[in-house]
Amino acid sequence: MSLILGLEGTAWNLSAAVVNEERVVHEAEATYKPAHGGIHPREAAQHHAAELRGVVSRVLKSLSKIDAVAFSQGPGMGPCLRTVATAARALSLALKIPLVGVNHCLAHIEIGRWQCGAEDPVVLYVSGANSQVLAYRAGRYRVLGETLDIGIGNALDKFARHLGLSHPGGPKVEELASRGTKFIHLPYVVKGMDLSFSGLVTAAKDALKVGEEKEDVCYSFQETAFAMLTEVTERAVAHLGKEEVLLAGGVGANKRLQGMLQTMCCDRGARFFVPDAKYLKDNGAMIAYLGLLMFESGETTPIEKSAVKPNFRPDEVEVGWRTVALKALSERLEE
Amino acid sequence: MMECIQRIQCAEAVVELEENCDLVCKRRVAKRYRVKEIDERLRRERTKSEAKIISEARRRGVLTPIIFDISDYEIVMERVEGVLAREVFEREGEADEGSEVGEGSEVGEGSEVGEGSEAVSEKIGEFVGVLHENGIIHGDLTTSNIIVVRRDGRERTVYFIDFGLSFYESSVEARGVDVHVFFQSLQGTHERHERLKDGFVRGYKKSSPDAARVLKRVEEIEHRGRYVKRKREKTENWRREKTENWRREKKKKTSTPKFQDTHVRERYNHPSEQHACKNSTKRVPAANAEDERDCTRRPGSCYGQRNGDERN
Repeated sequence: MSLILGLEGTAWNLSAAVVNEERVVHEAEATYKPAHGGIHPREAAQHHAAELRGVVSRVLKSLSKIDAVAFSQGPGMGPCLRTVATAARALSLALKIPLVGVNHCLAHIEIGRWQCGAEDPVVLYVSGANSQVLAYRAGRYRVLGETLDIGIGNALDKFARHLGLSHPGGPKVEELASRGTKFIHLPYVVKGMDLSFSGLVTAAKDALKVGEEKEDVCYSFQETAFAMLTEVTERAVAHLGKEEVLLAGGVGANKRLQGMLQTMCCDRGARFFVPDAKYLKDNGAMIAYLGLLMFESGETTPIEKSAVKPNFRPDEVEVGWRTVALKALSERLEE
Repeated sequence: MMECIQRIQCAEAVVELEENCDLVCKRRVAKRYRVKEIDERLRRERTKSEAKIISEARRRGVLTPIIFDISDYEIVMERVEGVLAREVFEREGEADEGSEVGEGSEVGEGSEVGEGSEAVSEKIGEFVGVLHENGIIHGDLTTSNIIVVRRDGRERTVYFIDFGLSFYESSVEARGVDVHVFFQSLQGTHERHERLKDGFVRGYKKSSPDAARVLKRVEEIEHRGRYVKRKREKTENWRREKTENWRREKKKKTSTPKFQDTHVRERYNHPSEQHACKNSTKRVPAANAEDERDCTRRPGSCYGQRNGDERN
């Protein structure tokens, strides 16, 4: 049985975990909280550098041996990625174990599939900078639709900052929205399978300017943005004829978004999966888990190819582990 | 009234094919997941605009179903017998269907697998060009929204359906997004999509005089999020080129205001920057910096800012 250490630090959450084939053995994290405004990449990276040692030693303390170290190679903020990658390389060299560079977005998907038991879902990946609808086809996760400007999390955070709320803004907007009653029309922008949120943020700010209640604006903001996301997901499900939907990414913790997707799936006869909240947000366990899958299918990253990729796209990755997993499953069935 | 024989549940509507008559009824059904205000507005607006644009497109020579009746959430229209483009592409991409593919206009040209698909794709491109020339954006150009029809052994032709997300606009950007959506649907559902893309481009150039500009924009749109590698290469090439030009210019005449202006303007016009700069207007004054280091670094930093901004 292999033990894999995973390091995650693409944005504001620094997290490390050790997993094996069956479970998450240890995990620890340290979260950067900006004093005011949004995440400052350099300050977040400095936070990670200061906390890394403590976090890693907490998950490694009782283990005599690990088999590989996985780290999130991207996408994310450059300074944060570089800090974590440096630590991963150092561990790999010092312990003489292989390094596995992992795509952060695919890690979200794979831990979701693992935890929920989804086989071949349409994935709605919603986080600070990303809003994508993905599905697996012919050896890759394909991006079927995505935001043309900012991610939904970023849109929520921007609007929250305008309201004077501290980071992260999403949960606070959700809380305000639950008290909203009046619906205000805001721009609903779906272009085929793609989405746009920046106009929505501007219109929501304008609505506040003309004296609408902030609870009502938050409510309308959420209803509009999440209806857009749900519609695009539904299109993907209809277009590809898939029967499962998986939610991934930090914004996935929003109960209203979960509710909308649940209703949509229920009406279409599809099954809907949401991982636990701790696996929705950025976490080391998902990096370790995808690292494990890649390690076992023979994919490791030599040091010279371990440079971080701040714009790493999920559809750049050749997915070898799904076929390997299938093979293992069929072998087990034959036995 | 009439007995319904077949109901098809699409993403946003139910399509009913009625017995003994060549009618299709497309009804937008209520979606429980969204609030009534959004739901009713979207359904009403989309039904109305769809009907309007379907008949407009037809008048302009693009094949679409004839409309017979329309109410709040419902359109009754002509039934088009044929095969979805998606199925045609998938079938012809997978297996050699000599008899199917070799017929029609391609006969005698050494028909290889998929040549028929390419001709279909070309026809699609041609019609999309006509739509765009008349200021119509389809808005949801996927291979499931195109029906391939063959009548009496004549050349295959295509019908466009589902204009639910269509709108009037003639900007290069809107056309580019439209074409981009089509390419995406080819990529998402078909493994050998490059050839189909080529076919589309050929047809599109035939009917649209603005094709070159639109197709260039399509590339730019792809670079905004997709295919980042290519974008990075492109940005680097552009940066190198700019630096060289800048040096050359500097030798010729030492900083005059006129030169600075054009320099800045060129920068604004650079494809990969247009989008990124929208998000970083604050940084724009930096473009004035005369310092060479700063000027070479700009594309990267601008780009980095867009993507690195608050990623979770």
